[in-house]
Amino acid sequence: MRISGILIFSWIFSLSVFAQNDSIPEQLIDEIEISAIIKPSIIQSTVPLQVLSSQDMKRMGIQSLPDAIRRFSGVVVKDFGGVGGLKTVAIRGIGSEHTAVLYDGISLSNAQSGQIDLSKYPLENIALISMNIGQSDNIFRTARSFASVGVLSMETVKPYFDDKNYTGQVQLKTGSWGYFSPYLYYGYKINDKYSFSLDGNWQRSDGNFPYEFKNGQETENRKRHNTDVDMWRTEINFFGKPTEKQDFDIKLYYFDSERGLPGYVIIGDSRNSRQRLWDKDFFSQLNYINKVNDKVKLNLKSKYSHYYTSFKDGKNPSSDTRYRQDEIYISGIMLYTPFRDFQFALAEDVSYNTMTATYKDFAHPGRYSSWTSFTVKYETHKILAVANLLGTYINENLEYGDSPKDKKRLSPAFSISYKPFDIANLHLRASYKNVFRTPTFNELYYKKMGNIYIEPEKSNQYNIGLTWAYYLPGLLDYVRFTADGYYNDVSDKIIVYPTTFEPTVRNLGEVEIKGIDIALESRLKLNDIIALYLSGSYTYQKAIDKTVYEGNKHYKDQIPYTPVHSGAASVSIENPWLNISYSLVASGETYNLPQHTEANRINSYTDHTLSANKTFDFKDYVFRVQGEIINLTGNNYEIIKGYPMPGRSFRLSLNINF
Amino acid sequence: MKMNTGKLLFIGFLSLAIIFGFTACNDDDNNNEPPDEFAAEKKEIMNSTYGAYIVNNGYDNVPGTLSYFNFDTSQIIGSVFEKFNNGASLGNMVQHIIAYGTKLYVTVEYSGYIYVLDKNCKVLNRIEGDGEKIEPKMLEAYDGKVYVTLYGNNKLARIDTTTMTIDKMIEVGRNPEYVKAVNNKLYVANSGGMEYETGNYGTTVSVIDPDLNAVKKEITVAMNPVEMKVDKYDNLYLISRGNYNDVPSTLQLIDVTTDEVTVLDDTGVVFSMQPYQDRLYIISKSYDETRTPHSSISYYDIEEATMVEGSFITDGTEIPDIASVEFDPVSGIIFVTAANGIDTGDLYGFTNDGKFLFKKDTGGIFPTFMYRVNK
Repeated sequence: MRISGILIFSWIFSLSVFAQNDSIPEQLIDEIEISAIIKPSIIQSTVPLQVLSSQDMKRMGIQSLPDAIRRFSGVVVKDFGGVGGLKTVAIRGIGSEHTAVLYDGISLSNAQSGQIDLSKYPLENIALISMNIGQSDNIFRTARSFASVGVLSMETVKPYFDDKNYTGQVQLKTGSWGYFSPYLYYGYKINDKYSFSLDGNWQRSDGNFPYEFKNGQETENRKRHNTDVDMWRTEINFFGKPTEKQDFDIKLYYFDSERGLPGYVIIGDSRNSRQRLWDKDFFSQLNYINKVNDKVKLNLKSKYSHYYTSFKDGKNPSSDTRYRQDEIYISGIMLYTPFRDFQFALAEDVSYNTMTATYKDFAHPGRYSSWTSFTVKYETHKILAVANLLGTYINENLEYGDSPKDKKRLSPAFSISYKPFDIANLHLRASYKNVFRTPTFNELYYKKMGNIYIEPEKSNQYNIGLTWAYYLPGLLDYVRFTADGYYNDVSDKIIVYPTTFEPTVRNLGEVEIKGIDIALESRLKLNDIIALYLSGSYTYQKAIDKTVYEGNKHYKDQIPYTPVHSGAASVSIENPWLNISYSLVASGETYNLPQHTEANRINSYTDHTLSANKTFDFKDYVFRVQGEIINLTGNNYEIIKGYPMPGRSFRLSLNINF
Repeated sequence: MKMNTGKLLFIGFLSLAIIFGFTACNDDDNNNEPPDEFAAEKKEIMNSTYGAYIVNNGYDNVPGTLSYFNFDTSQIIGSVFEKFNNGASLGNMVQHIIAYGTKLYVTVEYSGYIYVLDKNCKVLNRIEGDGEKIEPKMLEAYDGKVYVTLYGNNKLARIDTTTMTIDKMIEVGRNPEYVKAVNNKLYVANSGGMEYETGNYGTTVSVIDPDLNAVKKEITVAMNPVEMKVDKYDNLYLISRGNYNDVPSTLQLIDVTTDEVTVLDDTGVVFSMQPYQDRLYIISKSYDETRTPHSSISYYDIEEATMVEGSFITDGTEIPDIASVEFDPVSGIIFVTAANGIDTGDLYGFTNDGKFLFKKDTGGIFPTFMYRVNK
């Protein structure tokens, strides 16, 4: 196998352990591909941290970003099925609006709905995804990224040049129901200081998969309709290192898509929806780092983003609503290391968001936000502790109607990791975070439903856990185990309350969440050429509605779309002939509405994937062929009620690196 | 290749440990076997001679249901249709029910079904659109026939009660809601409700002969005509819902001889209505400044022709979201159905002078109708 880069495996053990164990085992660096990304340390982390590299995802046959994230413990991915169905991620029973999503270190934002649709981010150019629950130990980051319950972070591929001044990749992927997705990547090294990369991928799918529709004893063989997807994404990245002390990168991003929204399945009508959605997203971002001296490091980030969405109901010829969102965002961060064990970080972020909509009497809001974050980090051989205080100020002005009042809040967070024994790589950790989320533009202003009087939704997170890693020469490359127990509460939950009159947005909900996350990962060497990867995770999550009001019939029921038991597992065998992987995602039953009635129940499911790949060299090219069978049992299970998932399907991809 | 037993055991142990947790989560295929567990409830419904069906609309992708209120026992039995039809659901957005002759007629809007049922909800026939999106809405029985508005394709259809099929249709205005038969004429409210985005609602009521030969007249009424009711004097009342913005909902009276329209109230308080004896009960809805919904019932005095201020409920019982009012002439109980957001709704009982008697769960979401049935 060709070594074309340096992947640092030190995240598996903290660096200190390697220091003790002398050297990184040779074979670990063996299957290294393009990636200059350093995985963060899971073992030493003061908060739950989960990481998947692009190699992991390829090995397991993971299809998409949401497919990857649903293998993490403690998260719920809502998936409306198919390539184009909306997919969002929520952490530990706290709504998806509380999850921040970073793309190369800068937040993706959607002030309109507060949720990031993960189906818009194909995996092709993603080198690493990570998710931290609570605050991150990486304190040299934007203030805004502290303003969330957890952070899902995507790092894109950076070009790596060995002996050439260019690098490239071509990939073709095809699969069931008209799925076709070509991908092109090209990186060029201008000189030792500057380089750039260009990449793009197109994804199309008809998605009209068959499913069985049951009503009582009648079974209908149906097909999904209006499921077509056509997505384009392209990026230009420019990297510079003008001096030893300075680093910068600039990104231009464009995404364009059209998709049908098939709607929920209806008894008696398999073609009920004709809704269409168009998205055009553009953003440009700059990231500049200056290592002023040994003690001070500065980072400046800025971003301009423009989102355009058009929605047609299809049923009604005059229905055509267009939305436009713009955001200007600047962040300045200073990291100061006065002594060896102490670090201080001060970050100030400001953003200005606007939104327009074509329907009558829309408020046309402008939102000014400011986040100020001060963080202290203390790190020794035995202890890692991080304390953070975040101040948020939000002010809105409207073209039409009354403005909501300003929002001001201080949010504290604290986390600690402790290594009790010098000989065992065991860490104990504890953390606390208090944070809130601002109401979205939809919640405040959407037609008559919006409510400018709603308060932010607040959350508290408490976590205790342990991590353990072990290395045994000969048999075990490594085994890593993490276990966390947590308690969260959410108050003033913002909900849409439908009535027989007209729906409205209200602060109506208290949720109490208790849970356990367990993850185990291991790599075993069967002999010199065969390795076995095993991973498994399990989540127990009791997320109970504690809202007190007259006539609440769902008091103490588990909140919607949140299974009590869920988990994932995978087994991969790597060998010189054909790498094979089997993976599984399982979820217990859920309810689509707050009240637990038979009509609201969604059955438990398991989803199995079988994947095989083969890499080989030919002249200067590295070829990789990969095939997958997804959802082996072919069960059209539902994650969202009324949105069946595709049955058994196939994917085949060919990838050439040069 | 060689592997020692120790290694194998260790690997086997690890694999087991990982996979073990998942074997517990088995797939539940939920076979809807004939539910014998409902035998007692089925028997109770079959033996009951006097009761009422409650229409629970359902919500979003949760199908609607019919619940049966037994006047003898004052108990509600939920999901009656499912119990008499091997677990099948009626469909999405159950709209309306009427009883006529020996049968029940039920409309299911999104599923496009008009059910003809026996009085215990056993299916006799299911009428579907012929490849068209009919979206059946409201029903009215008259002179041996059952009329139904088809919201989706702007028609009024007539059902022959013996063949249980549609025998004739006529084009009416956009998105027809209520149909009422009075003075040997059919009145259809053309809401134009699909134009909620543009606000281009309908402003007419079509007058049609019962043979569906022609639309005899188009009466101009206030914007977005939806609900029509007829009192014991054959007065025809109409509520136009306005545009939910600057055009208020309006209560109107249609003279069924001259077809002239009189506005009774245009202050926007009237949401729904139900005539009983000398009163037209009026349901009003509002939000307070925290957007908490409130609703109340007042009435219009038919003989005095005046709106009477104040609530019909006299003991201070608060109901956030009243959906409908119904009356039992035998017991004198006044029933109120009420929604609870997306939780299952409630049926309230009140005395004739507005004192609370009972409250029961309807077993379904959005209970918007109650219809008395003699069996």
